[in-house]
Amino acid sequence: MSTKSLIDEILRGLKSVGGVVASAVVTRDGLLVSSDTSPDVDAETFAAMSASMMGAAETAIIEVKGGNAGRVIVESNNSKMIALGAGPKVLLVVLASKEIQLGLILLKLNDAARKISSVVDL
Amino acid sequence: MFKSNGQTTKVPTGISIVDTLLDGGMPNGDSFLIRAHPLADPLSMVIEFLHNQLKNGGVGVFLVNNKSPASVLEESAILKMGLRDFKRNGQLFFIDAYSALFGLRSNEAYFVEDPNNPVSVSKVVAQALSECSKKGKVFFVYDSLNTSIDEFGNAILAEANTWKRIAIAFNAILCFIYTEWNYPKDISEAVANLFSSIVDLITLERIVATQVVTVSKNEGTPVSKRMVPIKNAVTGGIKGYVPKILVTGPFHAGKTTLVHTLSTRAVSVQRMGTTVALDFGHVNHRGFTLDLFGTVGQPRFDPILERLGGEALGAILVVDSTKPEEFPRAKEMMHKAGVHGLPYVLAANKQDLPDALSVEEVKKKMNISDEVAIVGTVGTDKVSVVKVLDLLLDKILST
Repeated sequence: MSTKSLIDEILRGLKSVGGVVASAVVTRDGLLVSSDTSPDVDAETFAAMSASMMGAAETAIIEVKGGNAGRVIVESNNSKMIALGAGPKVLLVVLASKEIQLGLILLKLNDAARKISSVVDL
Repeated sequence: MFKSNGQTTKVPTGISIVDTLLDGGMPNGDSFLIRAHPLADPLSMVIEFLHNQLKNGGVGVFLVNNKSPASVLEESAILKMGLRDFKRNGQLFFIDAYSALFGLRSNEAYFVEDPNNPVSVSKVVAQALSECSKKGKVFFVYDSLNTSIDEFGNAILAEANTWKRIAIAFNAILCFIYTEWNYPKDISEAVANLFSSIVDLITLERIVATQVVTVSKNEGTPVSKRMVPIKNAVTGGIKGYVPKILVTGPFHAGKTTLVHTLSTRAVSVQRMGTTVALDFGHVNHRGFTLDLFGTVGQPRFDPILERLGGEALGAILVVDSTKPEEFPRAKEMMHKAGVHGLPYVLAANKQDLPDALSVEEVKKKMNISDEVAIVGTVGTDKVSVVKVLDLLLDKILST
């Protein structure tokens, strides 16, 4: 199986986590690797913007000597978006419903990110 | 339809990058092979070929031996290249060499009752080709050759020769789908020798732009064409894919305007009139879909530039022709973004301003080698910025 289809598989698995609406894996420099979003979403644009958001957050926190950014969480009026590193090359970005328990979903996301990271590096 | 090298006429596939690779299109009255890596997806390409021929009034004949005709119709609907209506109005005929494997009958126009026998498959194919050729110009799909090889071994290749002769006689185009599993060398060579043109679909072991298309044989001559990454846009079919072109240059050079003028759809993160994160735009140009990444100009955003520059295939460097003092910064940005050394085109922008330096002056002041194309542009003038993209695409394709 190709790396991409393995990542597709991991994203499909995330779908079963309650409250997860959409997910994507993007390279840290903004290219889409795989996405599980509704067809009307422009996944490439989402990928580019997620990567620049993460890049900006990492740079900002390093500038104030605040350590290394692990994830970015965006809370909107109807959802939560979470972007986290999955190894040195790619990011995992997930859109979840507003009601979701952060602690629980982060556990699942860290697990998925770890899997993605090892799949990409193999 | 147009002539190429005075021998065979060519029929465009309708997928412009494939037509370019084939020097015009599919060989008329001949057979060609779509040879796919195990992870590639030849069916969607063939559906687009077929759909284009049917749209132009042609007749389709589609043999299936490893899936049902219904699943082909479903796939075509997903690709938004629906074949069902063509079947209903008598332009598309299936040869069902599948149902009988499960002891089922078939309602399709042609039915192979004994799919385990290559001669009986061949007989139905010959019948379908000769009958359908009376209705119009036939585009025939054989899906798939490797299922037959698994079944019959080399015997099927002798039959394929018969069909080729029918194609010549009826001026039909025969397209064979073949997935290159690990066959013994003699079989894969025999398959390659059978066809005068071969389109290859390859998957690369990387994480973006994984599918590429190339042509390894054209009208009997082995060729070595470049590999073009492709993307199957859900609407609009298969396009060449350039996942990243970086648009960079100093503050207020006009990068955002250029991205928006070029793009069919673009988004920008702008605060107080300037880009703060990224401009991103999709462009459809010459059968390619290109994604533009417009960077931020001010030095304080350089860390993001360094993060986002990776994996670009080319760059557009935009400078404000009225501000020569910014030119050194422009060159520095190319380095910081890590795109120095990649194909790039210089856009000497804001040529509509009275104090703009001429293209020659910009070139001289920036001390740029003759190999670099430089275009005088006005950010809002589509003709001038499309020229930049044109030259860049030429450069990317020639490297």
